[in-house]
Amino acid sequence: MLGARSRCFIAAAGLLLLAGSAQAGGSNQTWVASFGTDTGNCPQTAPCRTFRYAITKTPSLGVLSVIDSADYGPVTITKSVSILAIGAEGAIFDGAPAAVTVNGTNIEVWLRGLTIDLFGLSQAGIVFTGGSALHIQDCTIRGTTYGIDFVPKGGASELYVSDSLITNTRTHGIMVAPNSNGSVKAVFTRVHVENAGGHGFTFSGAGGGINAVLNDSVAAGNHSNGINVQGGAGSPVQVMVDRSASVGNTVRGVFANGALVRIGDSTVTGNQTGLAVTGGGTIASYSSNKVNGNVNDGAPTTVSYK
Amino acid sequence: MAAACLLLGGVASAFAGSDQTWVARTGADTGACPITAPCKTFQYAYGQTNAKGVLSVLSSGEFGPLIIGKSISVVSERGEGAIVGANTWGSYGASIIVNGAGIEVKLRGLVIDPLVTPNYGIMLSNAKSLHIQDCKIRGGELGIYVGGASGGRAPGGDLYLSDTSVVGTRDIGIFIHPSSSGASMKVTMERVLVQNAATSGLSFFASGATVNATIRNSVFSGNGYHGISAAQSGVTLMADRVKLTNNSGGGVVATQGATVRIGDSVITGNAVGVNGYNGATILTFGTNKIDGNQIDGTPNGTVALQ
Repeated sequence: MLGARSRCFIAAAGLLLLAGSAQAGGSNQTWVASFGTDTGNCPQTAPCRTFRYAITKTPSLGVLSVIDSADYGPVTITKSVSILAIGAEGAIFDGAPAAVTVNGTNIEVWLRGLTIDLFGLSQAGIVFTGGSALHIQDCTIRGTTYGIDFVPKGGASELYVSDSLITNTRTHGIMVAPNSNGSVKAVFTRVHVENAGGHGFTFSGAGGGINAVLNDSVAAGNHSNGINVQGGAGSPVQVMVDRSASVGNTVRGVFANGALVRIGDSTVTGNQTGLAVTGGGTIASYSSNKVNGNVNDGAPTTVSYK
Repeated sequence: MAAACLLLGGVASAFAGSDQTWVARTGADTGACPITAPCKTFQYAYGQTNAKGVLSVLSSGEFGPLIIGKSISVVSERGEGAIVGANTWGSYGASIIVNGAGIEVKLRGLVIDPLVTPNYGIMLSNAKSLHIQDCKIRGGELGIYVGGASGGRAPGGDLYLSDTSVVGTRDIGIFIHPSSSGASMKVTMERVLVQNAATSGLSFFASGATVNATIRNSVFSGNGYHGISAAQSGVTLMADRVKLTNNSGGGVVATQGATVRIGDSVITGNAVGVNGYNGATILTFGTNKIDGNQIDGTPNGTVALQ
């Protein structure tokens, strides 16, 4: 254990060292602002105007940040970066080919605080076709085709979504569908998908395998199934639903087609059918769910707590 | 002793005098950093802030790394208070270093990216308490590190962590590693996300020290090794409503005499669900969902709800 004198000395030495090493972010962080212009390297003293331009000035593993609220336009991401909007609305109001496209090799991308609204245009909100991981946090997506279209073309990919809201999409709210060479691990924490034109959450393992978890999440008022889980030959698909709700959906609350869904401490009500399986699928309940008030509630198998 | 410390500290802190100071993107490092003339870097403004004062972010910007040796709150409520990069200190580098006997420090709303390894996000070397709230940490080697100073591992201090995410670190997400000198510390975590760490999400190693930790409503997912690991007999951990999913090693692993109690939690998609071995004990309240791991494992015992 260091004595008080030693700690004092070290603290002072640290401050002295600091005098020579304190630094601004330099080119590792770029900035956009409503008053910016797309020239130069986008430092905080001369921010740029669009994500599309600023991303070209952001190095791999760098950060692209929003200074104030504005529409910054669509962006395609091919390297590991963070795009952050904190204390301001980082909006994207048009999308060609999508509002946000992520497609790279072994890249990790973090999106935080974005507002995506395509007003019913024929493009998706966030499309992921290649990379190792995508983190979506505190985002709002509405008026798109798919809200999130997670369709890796190969390899092992991971999707993390938290504290986000997806509403009024023309098709599925969140689509997870790796192709035959890909596999996906996905975690949704406090994610709401509401009023999707198709399914709320949909998992399709016709290609590679999927292992997904819904924590404290909601699928409500969607026009097909709330949580739709489709298995595929030779590609196991399993979804854990915990402390979540699938309510008021037009067709089924939870649907397992050739796949395994475990569900506990959750609410399934107000759907045409609460729990439904087909094609050798299983819905295993921890006997702690509220599955009532559907036109047909359905009946799960059971699994025990440990 | 205290006077000597103040004199040494005076090398950089230069007769601080305000209870609240401000930084802004457009600020300059002169004067006392009032709200009408904000400064440019955290470290300069820190030097102008009285002990127990508040250093606040006026507008989004990158404000450089910070070494803290006195009680202070660093608060970003209105925008992005970013630190991209790190100070070097002995053999360590960190975006924020907290090192002062008996100090109480609060960090709120910060975005921290220490960039390349071996830099850490936040290093707690010595304090009475450190509160971290609403912070986002990405990259670097360790997101949060308790322990570690160039002169040897220091006592640590109580750590309170809430509404904070740690993403994509190149080693452990949060590493609690107090000294072997009989130190005792408490750790409390609420709504914490640790995802995509290259090794374990949350790791405790207390050789000869005592750590009493409570983790609630938190997610440890997609990490390259264990979700939570606890080692050494001084570690006692309560995990309540915790999600340990899709980790490449264990969901929760305890070894070398550590004690872990776990309830109302989800452990799925890991290589091994639970594994208490080598004299360690994992006790379940019988309310956990431990399924869908390659090997689910079995808790070492049960403990009754009351």
